Amino acid sequence: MDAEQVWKLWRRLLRDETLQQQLFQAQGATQWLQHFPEAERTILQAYAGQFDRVKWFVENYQFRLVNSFTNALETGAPLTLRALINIGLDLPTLSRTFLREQDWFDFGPRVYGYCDAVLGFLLERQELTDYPEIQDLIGLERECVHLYTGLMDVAALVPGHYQRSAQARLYHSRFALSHWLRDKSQLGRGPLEQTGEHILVYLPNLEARHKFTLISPRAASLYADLEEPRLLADLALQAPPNGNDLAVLGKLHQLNAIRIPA
Amino acid sequence: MTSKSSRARFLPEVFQTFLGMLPGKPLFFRLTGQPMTQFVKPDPIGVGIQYNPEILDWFPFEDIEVDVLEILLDNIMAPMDGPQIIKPAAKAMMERLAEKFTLLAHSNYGCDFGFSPLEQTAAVQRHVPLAKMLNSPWVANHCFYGDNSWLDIWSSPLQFSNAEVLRCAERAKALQMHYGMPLAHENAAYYLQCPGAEMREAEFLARLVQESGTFLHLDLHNIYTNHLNLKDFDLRDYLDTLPLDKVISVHLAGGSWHEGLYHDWHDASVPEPVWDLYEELMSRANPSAIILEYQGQAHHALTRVMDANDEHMIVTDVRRAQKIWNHYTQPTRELAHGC
Repeated sequence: MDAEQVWKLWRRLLRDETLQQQLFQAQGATQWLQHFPEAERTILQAYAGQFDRVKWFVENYQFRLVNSFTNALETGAPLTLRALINIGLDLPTLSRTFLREQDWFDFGPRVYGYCDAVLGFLLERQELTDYPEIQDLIGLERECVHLYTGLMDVAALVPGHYQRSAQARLYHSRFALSHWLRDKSQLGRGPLEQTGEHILVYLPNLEARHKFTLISPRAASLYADLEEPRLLADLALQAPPNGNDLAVLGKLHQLNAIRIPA
Repeated sequence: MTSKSSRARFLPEVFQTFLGMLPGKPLFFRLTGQPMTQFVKPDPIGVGIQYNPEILDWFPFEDIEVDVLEILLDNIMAPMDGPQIIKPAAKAMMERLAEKFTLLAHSNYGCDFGFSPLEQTAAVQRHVPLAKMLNSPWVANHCFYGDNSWLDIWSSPLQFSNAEVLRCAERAKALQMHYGMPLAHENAAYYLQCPGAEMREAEFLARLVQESGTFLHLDLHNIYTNHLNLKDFDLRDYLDTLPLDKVISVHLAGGSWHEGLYHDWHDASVPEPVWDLYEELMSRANPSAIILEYQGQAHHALTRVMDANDEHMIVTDVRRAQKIWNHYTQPTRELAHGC
């Protein structure tokens, strides 16, 4: 038996609940395998002969995956996870629903991608429609996830230009999320003031965990203006260019949000 | 117990290959091939415990008197779809632990023996730099399949076939070179063999390390578990088949019975037959370290969840392991004390 073929079929068996049920319900019988190609039939016959042992392997796999849903949130969106726990959401049930939609896919060590998929799933859930603040928080932490994944493919700097850094991202919230960021015991609890905030997510250095900071509407506007690299003369600075705007740009530079020419 | 400064040594040597005569050309000899690095087993270090985050909230790892902490690289590695190698919070923690203990790198989910290119695996991209960062004297990995995955790995033991010995040995040899330190393969516990086996597990491992120049990390509880669950899995024959001089490190653990099967869940004290195996191994081999393992509900909901009440059980196991270790590794000192 070719090992790679065995492994790929075994992985399919770990994920495919229909195939599992066929195998378990056959109780060792193999007639149901007749429509499989011969090579696959031989492999599946070996598993069918020990279907009770296969069941343990599958149960363990699913158990680990259900827990990994929480781990993905803990890694990429820990504030969202705490908010969900605080409102008493049934995470194992949500996890199973998500994983069934994904055919029990194992995201492996690409945990940010896993977290991004989970956050996208959560945004669509009926259970969160009454929690727009948490949906907003999910949006913020998705930016954090994109901050990390975005650093895997960084565009080269354009010499002599003001430009955004890959080490920061800006999120425009619908609610005053800063209240939860300051007091994490309140995550998910109680309504927040419906006041939009400009929250900068940034990495102080490439080895550090990301941080949040509120920036002013003017700083957000200048940051938005830098969607493309610009020369100072092309920036929409207040006319005439005043010290305040240059100070704001300097502050964004200190926060690793933008790069300014030397 | 030896000093914390014990570290792996390696002996470089030039590997010369005769390519032979090319048709129609003058006869010539040519030196080619890569410098081959031969790794040797580190000096004995002592007894340690796996630094398992699942029991970190109640077990006082930093207060227990052990020589070694085994670090699970998967728990400290940053995601592979991000720019970091180590989780920021883990870095400071590892630096603190390294001041007191030798840190041993343990790779669970490296996808070392899968079918995707080795250079793309978590083993090469994360575990290699992490093991070096920890200044680990060697590294242990697992005999599982996995490609871009983590959680299917525990359910996917290797196929013990002739072709797989050769394929896995090539990957092991290359991976050991990436690590730049001895690489030891841990025998797995499993509920059923991968179809297509042509030899016994012990024979597969013996041939694997013979072909690759790598080492063994012998999990005695996994051997015991397989002996209980699998037909024709012989405990004694297992040790007789392995090249015991290749055993760098050893795992001791406990497990539980559920629904007619014995499970390697690390939720109980080390059972007596595993202690017997440990004694037998120590009488015949010179491993460099012994590591005890305890964990939470990593694999199944039926696993017993340990708590602070289990601290005494763990410490008792550790002391017993140290006593046996000392008995077999320190005869000179015992004589000096008139024992």
